[in-house]
Amino acid sequence: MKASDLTKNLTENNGMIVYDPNHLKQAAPNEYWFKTIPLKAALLILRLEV
Amino acid sequence: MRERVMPYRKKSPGAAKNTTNAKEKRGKIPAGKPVRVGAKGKKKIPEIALTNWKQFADVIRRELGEREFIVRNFDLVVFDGIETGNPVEVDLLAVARSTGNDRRKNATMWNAEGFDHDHDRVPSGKNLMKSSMPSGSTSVAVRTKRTVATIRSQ
Repeated sequence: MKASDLTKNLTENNGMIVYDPNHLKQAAPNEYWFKTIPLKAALLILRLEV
Repeated sequence: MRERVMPYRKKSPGAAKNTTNAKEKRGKIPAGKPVRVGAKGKKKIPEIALTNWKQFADVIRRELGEREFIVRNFDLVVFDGIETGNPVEVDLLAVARSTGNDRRKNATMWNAEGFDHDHDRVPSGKNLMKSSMPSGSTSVAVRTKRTVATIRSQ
């Protein structure tokens, strides 16, 4: 999968959270099973400039 | 308090001087580093404001190198209770900053019986994207397809 595929439908109204996969047990569309709290799993928040 | 987030600027030879803003020049924000935002006492998730989403790959490469990652996109703002005629704006960006997730505690949709919070307690592996959508949900956080991917960052 290309990185551009991840953002092609995003607009200025969207943000993106980037997670460390080592902190998730499983991920599927709209479902995330965290091994820990999401705050620990999150690496970055991305959004567009306002 | 206004959150401070450094805009992302693509690095290019000869353009380095143009990528620093006034705060960087004063030495308050290290050039090339995202400003960390979040509540006091909690982990602060680095946050980067892009000019456009095409910069995503460059930022990921710069920040994560070869690390694998998973992404989740979300709506920055949604409205609860639109059927009541008195909708309430919900700042999901603030939720994400403070929790690392965009699912707030009081969201009717996310907390509906049978929704995947139940999976957290009893994981079944079943994807309930369609079957668990509660009728009469009071949230307008439309269940758009979340992007889930694990890719190499190059």
